[in-house]
Amino acid sequence: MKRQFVLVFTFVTALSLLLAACGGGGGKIQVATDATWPPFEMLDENTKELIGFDIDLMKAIAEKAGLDIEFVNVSWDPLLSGMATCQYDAAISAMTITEDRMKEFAFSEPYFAAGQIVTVRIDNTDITGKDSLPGRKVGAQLGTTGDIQGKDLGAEMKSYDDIGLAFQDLMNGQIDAVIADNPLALGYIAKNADKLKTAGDVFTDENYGIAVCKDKPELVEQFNNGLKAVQEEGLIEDLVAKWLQSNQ
Amino acid sequence: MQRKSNPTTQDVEKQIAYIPGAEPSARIDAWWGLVLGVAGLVAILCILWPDPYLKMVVFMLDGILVTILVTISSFILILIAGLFGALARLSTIRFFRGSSTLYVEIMRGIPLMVQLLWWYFAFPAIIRGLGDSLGIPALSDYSANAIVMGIMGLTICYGAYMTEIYRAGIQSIPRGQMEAARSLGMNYVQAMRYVVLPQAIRVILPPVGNEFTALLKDSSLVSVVVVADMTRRAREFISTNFNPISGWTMLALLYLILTLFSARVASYIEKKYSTVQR
Repeated sequence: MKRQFVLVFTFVTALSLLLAACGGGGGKIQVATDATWPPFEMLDENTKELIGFDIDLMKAIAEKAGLDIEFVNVSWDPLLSGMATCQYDAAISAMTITEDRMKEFAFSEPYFAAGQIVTVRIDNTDITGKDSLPGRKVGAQLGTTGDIQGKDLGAEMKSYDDIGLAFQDLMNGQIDAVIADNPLALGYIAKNADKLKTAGDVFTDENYGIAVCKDKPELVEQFNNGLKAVQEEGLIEDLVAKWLQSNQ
Repeated sequence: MQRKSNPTTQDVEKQIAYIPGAEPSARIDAWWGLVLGVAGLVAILCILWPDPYLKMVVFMLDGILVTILVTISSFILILIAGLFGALARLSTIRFFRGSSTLYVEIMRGIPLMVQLLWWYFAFPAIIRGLGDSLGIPALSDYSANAIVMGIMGLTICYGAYMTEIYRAGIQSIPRGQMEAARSLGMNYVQAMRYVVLPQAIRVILPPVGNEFTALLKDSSLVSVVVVADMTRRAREFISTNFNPISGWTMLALLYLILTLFSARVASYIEKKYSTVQR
């Protein structure tokens, strides 16, 4: 009797594990995002749901293309390596299209133009732009284009798990500057207008794209068609007005 | 009488002279082979596939040094903090006993990662706030050094665990030892120093060695407070090279070399002390 129970129990456990393992995929397209990058992707403080420019855009594209998507909230550096190994089907996370990244995964057409900008404390007068950065302590989020740019400039880079920590450390006075995408930096400055300001102008030209796993080339086309459709409807302008206008 | 082989005189002499663990070679046990094995595996990976393995190790070199520096310097501080914590905890003076117990209970109750984040992101802001409100410019301009804060956070957290290990070790020595030493005219400090602690060391060495290995692994948490240690360097490498399989595997192997090596050193020291006492 006891043995029978153990057998049945083992069988049921094994079966449920198996179902759980298969159920995970579920046919939905998994779209990764790092929801620490306002206003492109962040968590709504009340509902704890993903919100932001990218989230709205992705939902609209999925609707146009008739795709069933599911967001996965994941940190930035595992997101990058997860895309390279096709752990996720796609990623929309204010991701700049770069040559290095294009070797590892595919991209949709660009949907937004941004660039890097330097943020400093409001009382800082000696950092006037990117050229003042070599040798300074500069923060950025690990693996972002700001991080890469800072290293190329010869700054002493500190890489943070998320960009919010970098801005916090800047306000704490433990680093001299932060390099980040301009819409995001302007958002942080708007929220902390008494503490932060920009130094110099935007110094790179970058385009955000939706990353797609290499094994799913058909998704690129579907996303591009959906993107084109929503662009024609003027959704990008609507989203800029909704998410970015308040900062700029 | 059937014997498989007759022992030679030399063998017999060895047998007579054999005291287990006495000869230095016995302290170097077979498990050193595991350390060499893992190190050899890393070397083979680096030689066969210089890209990405060797590239990654070269990129991570300074991070490896930071990990070792952070671990060893906080461990030295932890050993000191633990001793004082334990003596205070066993003190007859209520204030010392109470504050040490409070320290242990609080620090053991907060996750190390939360403590590290607090020390680096909240503590400096508090100091500056204090400086502003009290009008002390030296405090208002305070800025924390990430490595120093990392070492401090590890020390304060692990010091609590170490306090308990020391306390258990000291309490394991029969009370009569202390009483006998005191009756011989030694004062409290002398009795501790010459009678109780030398005996307690044998008891606490194994758990202390264990703590060192745990500390080495937990030092990876300082990477969240921007200390460029092994883990952070590995994440930086993986985020630009997009190779999670080789990247994380290499990081795991490097940690394994360090922890296996430190466990061997700990076991060597343990055996050395236990023979001296025999």
